[in-house]
Amino acid sequence: MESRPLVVQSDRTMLMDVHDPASSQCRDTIVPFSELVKSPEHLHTYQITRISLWNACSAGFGEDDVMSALARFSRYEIPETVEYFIRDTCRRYGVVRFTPLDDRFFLLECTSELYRRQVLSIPALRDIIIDDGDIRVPMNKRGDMKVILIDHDFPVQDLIPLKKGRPLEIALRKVCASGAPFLVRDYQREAFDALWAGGAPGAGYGTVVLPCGSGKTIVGLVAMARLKTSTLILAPNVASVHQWRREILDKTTLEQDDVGEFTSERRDIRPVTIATYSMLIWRSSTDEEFHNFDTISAHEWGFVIYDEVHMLPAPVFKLSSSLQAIYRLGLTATLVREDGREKDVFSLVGPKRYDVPWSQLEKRGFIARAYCHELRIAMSEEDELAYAMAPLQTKIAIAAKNGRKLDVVARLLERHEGEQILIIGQYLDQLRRIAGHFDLPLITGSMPNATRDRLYQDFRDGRIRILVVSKVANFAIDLPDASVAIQVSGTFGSRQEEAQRLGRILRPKMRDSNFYTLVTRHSREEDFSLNRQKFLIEQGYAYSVEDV
Amino acid sequence: MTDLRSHLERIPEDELLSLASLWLVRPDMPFNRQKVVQRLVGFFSSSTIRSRLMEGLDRNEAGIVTLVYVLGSASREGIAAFFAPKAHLVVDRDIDRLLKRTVLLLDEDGLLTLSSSLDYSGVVSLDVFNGRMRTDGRRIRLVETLKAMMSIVSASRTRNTSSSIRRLARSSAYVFPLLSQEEVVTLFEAFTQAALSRGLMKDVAGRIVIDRAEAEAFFSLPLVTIKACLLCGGTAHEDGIRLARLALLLDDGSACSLLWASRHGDGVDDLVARFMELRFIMGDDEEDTEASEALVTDDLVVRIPASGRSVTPALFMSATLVDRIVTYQVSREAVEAGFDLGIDGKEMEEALGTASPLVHDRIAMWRERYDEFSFTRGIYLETSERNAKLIAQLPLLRIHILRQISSRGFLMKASSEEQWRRILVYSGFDMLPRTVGEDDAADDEAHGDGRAPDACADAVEVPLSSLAAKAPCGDRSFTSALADVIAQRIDSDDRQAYMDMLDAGYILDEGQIVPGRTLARMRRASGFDHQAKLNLLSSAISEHGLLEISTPDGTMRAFVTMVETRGRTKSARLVDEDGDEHVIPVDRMFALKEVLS
Repeated sequence: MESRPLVVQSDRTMLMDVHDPASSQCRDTIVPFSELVKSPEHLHTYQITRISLWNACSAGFGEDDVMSALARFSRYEIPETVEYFIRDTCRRYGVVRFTPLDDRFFLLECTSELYRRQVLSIPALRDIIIDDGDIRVPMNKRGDMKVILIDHDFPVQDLIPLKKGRPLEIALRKVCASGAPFLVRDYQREAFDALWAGGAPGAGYGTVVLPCGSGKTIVGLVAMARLKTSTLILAPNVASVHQWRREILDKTTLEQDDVGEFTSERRDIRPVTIATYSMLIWRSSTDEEFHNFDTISAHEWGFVIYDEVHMLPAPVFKLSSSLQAIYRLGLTATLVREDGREKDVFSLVGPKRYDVPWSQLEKRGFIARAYCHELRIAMSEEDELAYAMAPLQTKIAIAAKNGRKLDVVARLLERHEGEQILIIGQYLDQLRRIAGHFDLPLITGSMPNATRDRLYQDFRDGRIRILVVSKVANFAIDLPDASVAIQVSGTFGSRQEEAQRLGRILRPKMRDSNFYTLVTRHSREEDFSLNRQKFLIEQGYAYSVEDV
Repeated sequence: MTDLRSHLERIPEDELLSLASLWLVRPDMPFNRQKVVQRLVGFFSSSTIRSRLMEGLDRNEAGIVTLVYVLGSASREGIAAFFAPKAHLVVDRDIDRLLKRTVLLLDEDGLLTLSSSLDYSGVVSLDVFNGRMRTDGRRIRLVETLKAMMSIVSASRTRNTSSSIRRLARSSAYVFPLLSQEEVVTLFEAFTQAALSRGLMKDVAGRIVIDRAEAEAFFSLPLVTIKACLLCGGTAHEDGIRLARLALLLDDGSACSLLWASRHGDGVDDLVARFMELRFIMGDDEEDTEASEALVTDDLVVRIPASGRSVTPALFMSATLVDRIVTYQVSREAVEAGFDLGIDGKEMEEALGTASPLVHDRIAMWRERYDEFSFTRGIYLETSERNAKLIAQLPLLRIHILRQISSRGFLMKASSEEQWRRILVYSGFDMLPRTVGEDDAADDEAHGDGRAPDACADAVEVPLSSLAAKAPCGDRSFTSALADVIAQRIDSDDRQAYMDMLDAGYILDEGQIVPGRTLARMRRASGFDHQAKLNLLSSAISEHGLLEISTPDGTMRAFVTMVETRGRTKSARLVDEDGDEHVIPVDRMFALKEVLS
């Protein structure tokens, strides 16, 4: 009997039975047109959305391809509403196209008079387009047009050739500058190949979705080595900037002078320049122009990389619409945005070209398993009374700073003696107490970057085994050798932050990783931990709960 | 049913006269009501007449007769609504014809009913409805849907007000992707009304609480009875059951069981209207009696393809999607509600099967919290000594504590229960059982009447022998013989009038074929007399008459709704007997003829 691991539900979610023999093949088939939502054991959930279908269409999938794929693996009949949605959505792709005209304008073409009338009736376009039979659009409005059109369910098929930018001589090393051999993993190469698509029209821009810690940076380096053009890399913060710089110098043939940083600390524009998002959109007042952006975009870039593209600040979207003419790569662990601007990522960066979940990489042996543990700790009577009488925000702090957590930290440090350990928390006074009690270095947001980098390097080199870090400071940690993380107080951040933080701490390595969360029993921390537990399980992490 | 004599004695004089002209060769002059009634009764008592009346019914007429047969009686509007989207005019015309032929009569309340002197066994058939209800092919899974709604109500502890229920329905619409938001609201309201009436849901201090035993009883009812409960607001009386069963069977042309009660209930029109409102669920015939295993994942999500007869899962989990597989979430609120209903941890584990340790651990943790407190109506709060010490020191609670009875117990103010419960939750005691006490017994007695009508569910199983497998198709084998008699006895001037009567089904016996009889002449207009055509069209509009219209494209029978002018051309808007609309220029009509109806 043919294996059919998929259940397609009327709300356009799909459940995939991971124990079915055909699950791997099924996954590979449905990923191009769906998003992985969660992947706990037994059943992975995928979602079909407009964006996911348009992503597929831009890669050459048609409505019949999608339906055949579903029919092949679906255990039951495809709900009519789902089929209707798929066909209706796919048919929208390609009805509006951008085609080249000259250096100053491009043409907006529609496949039918009906669509043409609908497009022309969009009020926001009236001030932009010139309709003299053909619809002409100024080249610098390319990004704005895409955003407006997709808001009206017109995903644009952009066939305007991309500009090459200033050439750059760059290649990947076979041996890193540090001496270790360097091999690009097959999924990293596959990711670039999916983006590049052999240089065909309508390719060369898009988003790659890879789990935290799986080497998205390497995908960027592979792309740079292939495109050999001046490159602008946009990253979420200074630590990420430094991380990129290190990787570029370690794994490519570029020299120090080839790589510049544009941050609050330095403003150095080079053939490869790494800037923070915040610097890009900085201005002294809301009346001012975005001077930094103007400075950066004045250069002849051929390639832009958006690191952690799901965190792209909203103003950058507007600005980066003018970076439409060049090769673009968005890197992220998840395309889901808290602000719902996935459409903007689709339009301005590009459609998703490649995606692989954590469990796949783990199965293929590229990353070690991560185990999540929740340790529930009782409060003292004194703390219980204070908790009961306190207002809500104070309750959270009382629970978080439960004094009995210190003993648990001690036991964990003993349990994992010899391993590289991070202790993370929300409250500085709590972290100071821990750091002071165990005589450990403490990294906070107020620490100068140079000092912070030095401590990171010492940790990386093994001179320091345990670091205590605040929530602010741990944002962009890249510490490949950290195998244990102990979260003493909750972060209460977004779901993506949770996964990002965990992923940064638990980078791919040869040994299993352990992530401990200390939670005070019978407190609000338990509610947050329940959400966190669900989220981490959805990402595929093994999870256990222990009362201590 | 009603008898013909009573019907004839009730109808207005002009209608009686019209019937007499139609059926009796020589109507009495001067008009004597009693004699006319007597003669008509005599005429229709003939076995030949009665048999030929039935033989003459076409498929559409058989459908109306079957509906009235099933319901016992129905209004004209109800029948038209039932057969929508068929044109009102066409249904009306069919009803008129059935009345004129005394196949349908009017009862004391003016409702259409059947004649006690006719044998309908050869004509009533569900075949005429075959497939009609399958309007969109949705597989709604009514029982799972209702259980899911119950789980949502249980976990939310919603207020027992129509606005709260509607709000809850709207916010839960995403759980039911096969239903539109309006349908979700309609079904939610119908279900909660029925559930409150039957005691499956109860009002406790203004909030809806589920009664587990009644829930189990309700969901063990046959699907048809559940539908009847929804139609009838909970009591599942016989009309509701008949209608629901009719709905269940409409997609099944094969033989089936249906009990037709001799009486009908009040508010049949309301019932039919409700039926139309809930029509989207009526075609659902799925009834999974076998429960399938739950699939539980560590993220506290439980998926159950079919819950069978069991309601336990829906009483401690909250539904998040009803589709081919029903998805539930194990949430604190839902589990707490389950504990309140007396479902213990062991039962939950059994319902979840081999769930992951994480899920069991979570439920055990909540149970531990839940068991720390008990509230007995009085209201006596009992908890651990440790908790009691904390409670005693909470300033906000002091005004709500009447007295501390022991190191573990407090007497609390019943009047402010909602406030001090909120304070306890705010203070970190977030799994609080409901208050139990004598009121529970009182609640159990209050809804006893929910049970009685279920006896009807058994009664409807008595099979009817009179259900035909196939509907009649209007073949009247006797008409050719009668046509010959007309040709022999009637001169050519009157022959056409007789043939019109024969075609319309008003000549059933040669005794009606008498030379010199005054028959209504069907008016005609030919293609060259434009004004005559317009006059005939206008008459047809005002009299709701049926015309036979011949054009170069063919001949059709249709009702006229309007004559409009476009430029210099006059056109008629028509509705044919199938309910389809046409617009034909008057100039293209080369012959018009009234049809006797």
